[in-house]
Amino acid sequence: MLYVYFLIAVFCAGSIFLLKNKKIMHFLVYGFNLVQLLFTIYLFRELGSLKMAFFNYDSISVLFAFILAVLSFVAAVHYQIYEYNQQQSIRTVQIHNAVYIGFNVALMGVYLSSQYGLLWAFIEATTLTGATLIYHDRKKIVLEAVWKYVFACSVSITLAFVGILLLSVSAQEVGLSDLSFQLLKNSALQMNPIWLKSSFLFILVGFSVKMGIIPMFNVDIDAKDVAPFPIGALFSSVLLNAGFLAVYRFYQMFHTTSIASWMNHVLLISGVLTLFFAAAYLLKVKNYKRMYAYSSMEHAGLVIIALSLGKAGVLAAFLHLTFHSIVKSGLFFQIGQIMRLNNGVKINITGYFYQNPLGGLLLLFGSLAILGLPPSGLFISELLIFKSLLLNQHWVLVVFILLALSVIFYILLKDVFKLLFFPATHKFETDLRGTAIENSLQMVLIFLSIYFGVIQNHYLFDLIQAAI
Amino acid sequence: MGLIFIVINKNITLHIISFIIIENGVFLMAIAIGNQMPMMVNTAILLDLFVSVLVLGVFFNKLAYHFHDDSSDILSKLKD
Repeated sequence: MLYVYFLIAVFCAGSIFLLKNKKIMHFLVYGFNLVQLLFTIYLFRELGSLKMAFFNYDSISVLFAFILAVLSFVAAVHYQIYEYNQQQSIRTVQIHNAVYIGFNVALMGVYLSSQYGLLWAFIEATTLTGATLIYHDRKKIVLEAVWKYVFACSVSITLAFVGILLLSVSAQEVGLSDLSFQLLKNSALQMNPIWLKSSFLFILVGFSVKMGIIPMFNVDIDAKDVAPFPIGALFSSVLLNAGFLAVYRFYQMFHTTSIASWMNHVLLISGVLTLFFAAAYLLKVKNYKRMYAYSSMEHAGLVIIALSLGKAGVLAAFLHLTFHSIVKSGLFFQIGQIMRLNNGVKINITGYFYQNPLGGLLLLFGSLAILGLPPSGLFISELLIFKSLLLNQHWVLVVFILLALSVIFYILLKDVFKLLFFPATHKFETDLRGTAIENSLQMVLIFLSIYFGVIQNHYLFDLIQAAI
Repeated sequence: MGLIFIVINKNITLHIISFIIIENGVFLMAIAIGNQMPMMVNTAILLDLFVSVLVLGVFFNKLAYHFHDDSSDILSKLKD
């Protein structure tokens, strides 16, 4: 089945390169998305019974793959509208759509792989395909961002590879022949902690570029800023999940060994620093897309903090990632409408609510949801994070984290209200308002998170509980 | 060594060369440790490295075409 999925992907991407008609290209991408969704459902039904070489997944992989399948479809719909409004050339659309399929396959590979080497290879593949996706509008500023992204990602992922090599040194000492997660986990207790510690540092630093946490966050923010908005949405949802999964796999293997408390300290430091940097950069932010990119960084920091808090924290982390992916991508799609109506997303745009009432309402609800106000799902996961922080007796840290969060809360809400309700300074162009399909898809995404916040979904909890 | 090279140099060409220095170092380290990964994984890694150098080359050409200058100072427009 997996090979069928890969073959269909290769077929779709290949035939897109041969075609000359934009409509059929988009149709092929939708077809691929449908196959991806069916494949995810198949994985869910066969959970635990399927045996594949190199790919052995758990319920977390299925959860993330499902998010990928849904969001990738929504992003493809938005991309078609974006491309139509910009009157892009056939060549650009061709490259974008073919590479888009490659990006999806690479992400799916990250979620499903059962070996550290293979996971690394797929993460590198997301860098390369992602860079091509960012370079969509052929402008100088985009080129600058792409160059920085490719270069910094390649270097830091090489650092992650050094971490994997160090891990293989310790695996060799206990006589393992490959780096599959199951084997490593079984003999984790006999490994040399010094090698494991240095390996963890390299892996955390290396994959931080994908998550957008300290120390390698800058290029990630730039990439989300200049990329087309559907790609920005995917970068801050599914790619963030992939980066988190890469770090989590290491944590999952070694959280029973003697280095566990040291790992928790490292994660905690990294997460708190990320929150602080996000708050500090938000103070001088000049553009709404960057604002939401920094908000993604804040949530990545929260998730890393949650990971360091033991079992309850891990549950909170995965809930948080799920809800954050849904809401944040919905917000990025709405940002796309703002860009189209105002020719940009500079911070001086005002009066958006009068210009486009439905879109304004969606932006308002989405922003309140992303800030973790009670009806949204993020409230529950943040509550769980704070509960486990308090249970672990981190009193001082709680104060600091709340301080950083309230700064972020204030800035985000201030800017969103300014965007929505201040009197407009220029004439409206209302003929480019979002179409019904755009608005309804965004509405579904944003209200889905509120639904999860109000009604406890036991499927979701069971999926996450089964893995941790 | 390669990382120091990246930090102290301002020239994009030298950045690429230092990236290759890092890769060489990693490769030597992999040999010193002894090969552990299965064949398919190794092939995937090799393919990735090949494509990454290719992509770096393509974007480097675009940069040279658009900016006619290879100092990294030109890449400082993007900020808050």
